[in-house]
Amino acid sequence: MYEPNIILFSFLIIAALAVAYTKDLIVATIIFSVYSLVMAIVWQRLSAPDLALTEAIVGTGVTTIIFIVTISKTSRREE
Amino acid sequence: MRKILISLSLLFFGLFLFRTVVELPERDKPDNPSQVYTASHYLKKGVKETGIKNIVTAISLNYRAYDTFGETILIFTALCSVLTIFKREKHKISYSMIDVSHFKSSIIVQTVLTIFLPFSVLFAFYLTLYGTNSVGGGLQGGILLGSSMIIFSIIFGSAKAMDKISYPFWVFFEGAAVFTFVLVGLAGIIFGANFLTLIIPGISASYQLLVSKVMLILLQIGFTISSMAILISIFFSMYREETQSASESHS
Repeated sequence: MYEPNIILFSFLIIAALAVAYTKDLIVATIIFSVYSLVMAIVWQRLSAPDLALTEAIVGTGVTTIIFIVTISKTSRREE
Repeated sequence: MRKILISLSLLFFGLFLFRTVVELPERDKPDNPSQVYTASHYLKKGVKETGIKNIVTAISLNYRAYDTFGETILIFTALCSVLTIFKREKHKISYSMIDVSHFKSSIIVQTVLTIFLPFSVLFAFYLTLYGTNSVGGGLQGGILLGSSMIIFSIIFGSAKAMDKISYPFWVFFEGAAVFTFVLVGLAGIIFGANFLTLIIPGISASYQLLVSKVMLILLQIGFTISSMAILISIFFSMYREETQSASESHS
C-alpha cells in the first residue's frame, strides 16, 4: 500500500536536490519538469485530479518552455 | 541606516504575521471551524445547491467566485508588468531565433506535432466545456490551448504562428476574463442579487439551477480565452528577437 508513495517521495527529494546542485541549466530544467510529472502522479494518488492536471500542464509544459527561452537568451552554464 | 530600517520593518511585519499564526486553530483537528461548517456544507449540499457535479469547480466559481475574480485581475496585472519590461511588437510581426537560424527542426518532430496538436486542442475544449461535470476547468483548458500554440511556434517558427492569431481582437482576448466576470457580476446586481452570486431572484428553483450553470460556463469560457491569450502574449514578448524588426521600425 505505502511502497509506491515511498518510492515517489524519495524520487521527489532526490530530484529537488539534483535541480539545486546541477550546473548545466538546461539539464536542471529537464529534471525540474520530470519532478513536476512525478508530482502530478502524487496529486493523482492523493485523489486531487484537478491539481494533477494543472501540475502536468503548467509544471511540465509552460514552466519548462519559459525557462528554456530564458536560458537561450542568457547563458547556459551557472558560474 | 537603510539596512537597519529594512530589518526593523521586516521584524515588525514578521511579528504581525506571527501573532496571526499563533491565533489560528490547531491543524488537522476534526472540530476546526473549516472542517465543521464550510467543508461539510460544500460536500453535503454543494451538488444540490449549485447543480454542478465537479465540486472543485462549484467552489471556485460559484461559492468563491469573488476570489477567482481577484485571480483574473492578478493574471492580467502580471501580463501588464511583463509587457512594461519586454514591450510588445508595434506592427505585430515578431521574429524569433527559429526564423533567423539556418537550422530547421527535424521532419520527425514536425510530423509528430501535426498529429498531436489537434488532439491537444480538442482536449483543451473538452476541459473547458466539461469542467462542470468532470475534471478540468477554464484555467487548465486555456493554458493547454496556449501551450499548444507555443509549441507550434517553437517548431514551425513564430512568424508562421503569428499568422494564426487575429490581432484586432487580441487585447479583448487578454481582458476577456475580467470583462466576463464584471459583466456576469453586474447582471446579478441588475436583477436584484449581490455581485457575482450567480443568482436571479424571483424565478423558480429549476430555472435557477440552469441560470447559474449557464453563467458559470460563461465565466469558464472567458477564463479560458483570457489565460490562453495572456500566456501567448507573455511568451511572444520574451521570445522575439530584438535586432531585425526593432531596428527597421526605428529607421
